[in-house]
Amino acid sequence: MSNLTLIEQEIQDLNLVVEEGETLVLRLAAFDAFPNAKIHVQIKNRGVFDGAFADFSKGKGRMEVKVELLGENAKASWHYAGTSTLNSNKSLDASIEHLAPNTFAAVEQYGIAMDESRLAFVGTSHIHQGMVRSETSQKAKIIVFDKGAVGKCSPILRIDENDVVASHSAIVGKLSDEHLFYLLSRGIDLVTAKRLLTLGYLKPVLAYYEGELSDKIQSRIEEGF
Amino acid sequence: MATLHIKNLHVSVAGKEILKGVTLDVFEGRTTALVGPNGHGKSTLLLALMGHPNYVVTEGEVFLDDQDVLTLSVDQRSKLGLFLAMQYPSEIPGVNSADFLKAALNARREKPMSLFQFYSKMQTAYKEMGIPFEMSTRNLNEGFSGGEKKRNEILQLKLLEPRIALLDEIDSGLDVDAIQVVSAAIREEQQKGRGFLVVSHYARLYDLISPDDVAVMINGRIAVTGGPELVKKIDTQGYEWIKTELGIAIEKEESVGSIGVCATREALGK
Repeated sequence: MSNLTLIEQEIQDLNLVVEEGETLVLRLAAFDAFPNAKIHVQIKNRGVFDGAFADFSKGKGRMEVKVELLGENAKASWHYAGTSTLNSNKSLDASIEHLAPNTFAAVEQYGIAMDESRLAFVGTSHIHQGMVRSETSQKAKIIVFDKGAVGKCSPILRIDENDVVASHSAIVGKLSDEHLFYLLSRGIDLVTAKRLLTLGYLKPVLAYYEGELSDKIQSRIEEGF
Repeated sequence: MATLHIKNLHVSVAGKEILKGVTLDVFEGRTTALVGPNGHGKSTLLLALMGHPNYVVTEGEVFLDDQDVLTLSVDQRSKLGLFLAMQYPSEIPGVNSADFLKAALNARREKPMSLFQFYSKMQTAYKEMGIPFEMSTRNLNEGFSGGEKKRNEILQLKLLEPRIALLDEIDSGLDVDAIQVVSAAIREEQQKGRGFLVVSHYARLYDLISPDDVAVMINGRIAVTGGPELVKKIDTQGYEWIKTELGIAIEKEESVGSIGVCATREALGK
């Protein structure tokens, strides 16, 4: 198993190959500048790619993660959790190509759009013809925190084979007034209430990190963005 | 002992006036039963007192002693000593119950409570309310039964120690055992000197918590106030006597036996 952890400017264009039966764990974290990187991953038979990105960066641009499942029983997962603040304009494209039968992929992206920022989740999960018994899922959710913020979720499923399992959900929502009222009515101030309501969306990403980096991400999530 | 003074309170929801001049005093150390037919503004009064954004005060005043309540934000009202046990507590996905309780307790303290102190306080309260302690790790009210949600409201009341607690149909959705647990907890809080304003449709709850005062809300106003004998009278005779004795026509018919038609829900077209 190989582990690759990249932080801040270390996140650059990458071409990765996961060899037969190998596992690649990729952990990304950004706190300052948004990485406009293109990450391309190719996975051979029984190879596993396990990727996560905790993103609290600011800036403009597009980051791409393209995964090609080239061999049978190849597996890929990608979990993004992040925030966009100030006047950031961030687009996250997580795309999967199922190019062999019996291939599996799960993409999850959770974000909070604040201030005047714009956050977009795009990406296509494509099961090509003949790639039977493949499974793919795309989940995307953005909470729009402030009036000036924009969230856009448009993940796409392209399925050219019948014998597959595919699922897909995309939600853009604002914080519920009733939920806020409930927390406020217990004496919790507005800033803390909003933070509590968003913790649940971001916290699951912590499971992918260890040690100091995990602590740093946790404090970013808990003490404000 | 503080007094909550409500004077000529007018409240609109979605442009429709529901409270049309409510005047009522609620006392710390006493329990006031707020009764009246469905759809006449009882819940509206409670939500407006707590500061729900949909409930717009157009006229009147609310003071807790000499503190103007209406100028305060919702969280400030809570810290001042008001508490609302909601009729329909929200299910809040992603918010862990223990994190929520910790934030609420620490909101009214200068220094955050120690973890040990917090957990022992929480454990005691869960035990007293007959809620399994494991539920503190679950998301707030998510997947709780109706009865569990109501117990959880009283659990918060116990932990937050308000001066005046507003209870909106705390007994609805409770089975007989749960009503005993909830009313025992209320009696205990009464003995600690807390004030209560309690909305319920059932004399059974009032029998268990013995209100000192009773106020009857008709047409968005308090039509009559009195002692506990008013609850008995309404329980046996309904509200018809209001018309004959006081000359107040009840604007909407009470839908007996049906689930409450809430004035606000009606105004919002829900």
